[in-house]
Amino acid sequence: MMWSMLLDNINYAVAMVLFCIGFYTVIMRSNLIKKIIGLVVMQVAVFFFLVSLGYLDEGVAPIVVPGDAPSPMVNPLPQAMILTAIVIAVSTTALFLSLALKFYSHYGTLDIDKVKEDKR
Amino acid sequence: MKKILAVLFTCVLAVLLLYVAALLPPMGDADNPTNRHVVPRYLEHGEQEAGTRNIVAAVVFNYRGYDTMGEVAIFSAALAGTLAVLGASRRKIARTFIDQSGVEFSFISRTAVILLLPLIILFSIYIILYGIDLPGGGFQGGAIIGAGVMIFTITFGFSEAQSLIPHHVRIILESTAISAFFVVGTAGVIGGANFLTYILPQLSTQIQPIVRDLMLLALLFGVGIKGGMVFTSIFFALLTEKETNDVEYAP
Repeated sequence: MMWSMLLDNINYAVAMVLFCIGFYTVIMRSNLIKKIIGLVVMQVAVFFFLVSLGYLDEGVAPIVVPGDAPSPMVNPLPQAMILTAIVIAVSTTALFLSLALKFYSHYGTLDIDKVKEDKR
Repeated sequence: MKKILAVLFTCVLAVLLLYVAALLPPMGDADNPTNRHVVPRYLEHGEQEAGTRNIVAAVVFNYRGYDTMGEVAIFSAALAGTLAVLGASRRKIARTFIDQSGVEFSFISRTAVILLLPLIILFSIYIILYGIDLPGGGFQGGAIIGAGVMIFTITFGFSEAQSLIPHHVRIILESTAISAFFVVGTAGVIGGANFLTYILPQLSTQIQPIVRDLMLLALLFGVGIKGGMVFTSIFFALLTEKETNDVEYAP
């Protein structure tokens, strides 16, 4: 029962698994670049989940074609949200990376655990 | 120990999330809550109310125009943060890895980039212009402009690209989106309506759709140019960072 319901929502399930992979990367890896990669994977999982929410069976792209019989169109709202969110994600990732660069030029390493040990 | 805990925690989180995913309404059903409420109105009246056949553009620039304005502000804030962290003064330094590398790009790739670059810019203008009626829009066109500048920089070096788009030009172009939102939004207020309504009630009904299209185009171009310039600036800032190998902290 549960399994077939999960298979119906396979897109959501994949997004959740992707999110967990990103989350594990963020909490386990001590390398800053890998942490950033994990954050980006989590971002992508959220985008994927939201876009999947707007999916419609046999829906067409939300563009009105004049003279065409109105066919069901997919939900334009998540698409509009994700469209801007992707651009924001790129610029915030650049901010993360620049912070990582500064971290490296200050400590000479990207490994957080090493810096913590040295502090002690 | 830490690893076992992390794996355990992630597994519990995954099971919980998958349980929720299974209980969500089946994907692709027209009766889902996500596809009801405001969405039918966007789809049915979007063309008439917003004047665009591309409903996504209608949502981005008309129904949710305030959101987009806020996101453009976040975009600027992220760029400002990047430049603040990396140091704005280093934008002028023209020594990068690309310029220092002894290997020149071949004649073929240089010629190919020179031939391709106008086409890339033209394609981005096409994407921005047709954002009203076809898939496309400001953000996408801006990303293509940024990609074009990046290809040019990688092939010809940073100093060449810097002279193509100087710093002071970029500063002006980076503010186009906010300015466009301000001008278009205030035009709505002057017309007696609300901020960002694209309506000037004094005009006759024949001119009204043309004015609305022009306002939308101004927004699309503003967002597009700003997006391209922000990508370029971030790219340049990240390029110029690596200057010295001095490590300030000795472990």
